[in-house]
Amino acid sequence: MIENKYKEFWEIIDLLDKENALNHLIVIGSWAEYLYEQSGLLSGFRSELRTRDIDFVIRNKRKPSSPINLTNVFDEAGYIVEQDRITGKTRILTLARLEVEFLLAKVGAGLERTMETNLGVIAETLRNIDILRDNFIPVSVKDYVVNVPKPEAYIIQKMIINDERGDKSLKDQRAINNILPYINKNIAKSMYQNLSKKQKSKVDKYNAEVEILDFLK
Amino acid sequence: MAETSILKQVLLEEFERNNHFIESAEKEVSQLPIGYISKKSINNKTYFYYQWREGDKIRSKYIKMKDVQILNKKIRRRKELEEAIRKAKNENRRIERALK
Repeated sequence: MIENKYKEFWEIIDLLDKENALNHLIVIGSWAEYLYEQSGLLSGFRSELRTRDIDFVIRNKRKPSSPINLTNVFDEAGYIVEQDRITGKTRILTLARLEVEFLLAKVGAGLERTMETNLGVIAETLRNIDILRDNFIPVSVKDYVVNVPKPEAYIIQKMIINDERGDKSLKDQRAINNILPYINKNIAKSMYQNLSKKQKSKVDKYNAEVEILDFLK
Repeated sequence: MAETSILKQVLLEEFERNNHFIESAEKEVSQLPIGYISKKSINNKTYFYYQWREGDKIRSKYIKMKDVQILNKKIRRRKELEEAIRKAKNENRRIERALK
């Protein structure tokens, strides 16, 4: 089953690559950590927990300019494609029980919980995704070029949202601690300085509680 | 203590995800044909029959050559999903034991 999980992850990446959709997406969450490890981006880093959620951030809902229909593509490829009963967001399930979802950065008043995209999927809009969207890096693994958040953005975003994560906050803290020794502190500092006032205060609150990131100041 | 809590959280997430998968997969299974395709040779000609069980009886229906592939694909899909559901249920039983 563990083997299947990785096999299916790469099958999904392959499908997205063939549809020329991969460049429009950023892999976030624990699978980004897997890609940090596999690509050698963070030399010596070993990722730990890997859930079955694969979350993709859509860089721009209006791209590609010629729309594609990933919902149909996944359906025809034999995946279970469904729409969330409450929010309407697209969710793709695999036989190894991976669950693929798409996210968009929420902007302005951001009243819409979901939005249609030119990739042919309905994405959930979330706050504080912009830091991941605006700070990504392409990594090469196998024969693919996959976008992942810069590790510094990855941990800063986790700090910002930590107090909203409820039961998942400890898991996120562990992820932060695991990546922390491998990040570029100057890049992290520069990112921190570019955060909004509200985001900065959330990072400060996290650090006051955990006391690990003095270098951001 | 924190390690136990993280592990418990991950297991709970997997449990919920499995339940969601089971629900969605069972919904799809309910729309797929049960049974199997059998092949018979009569006077050097091959005929295909769709067969399924209804109570104690085996029902049989002739299928045209052009429909064999589509039906076969649906039956295979049903079997794949049923196998995946079985695995998800087994995993949830293991998770329940681990969480006790």
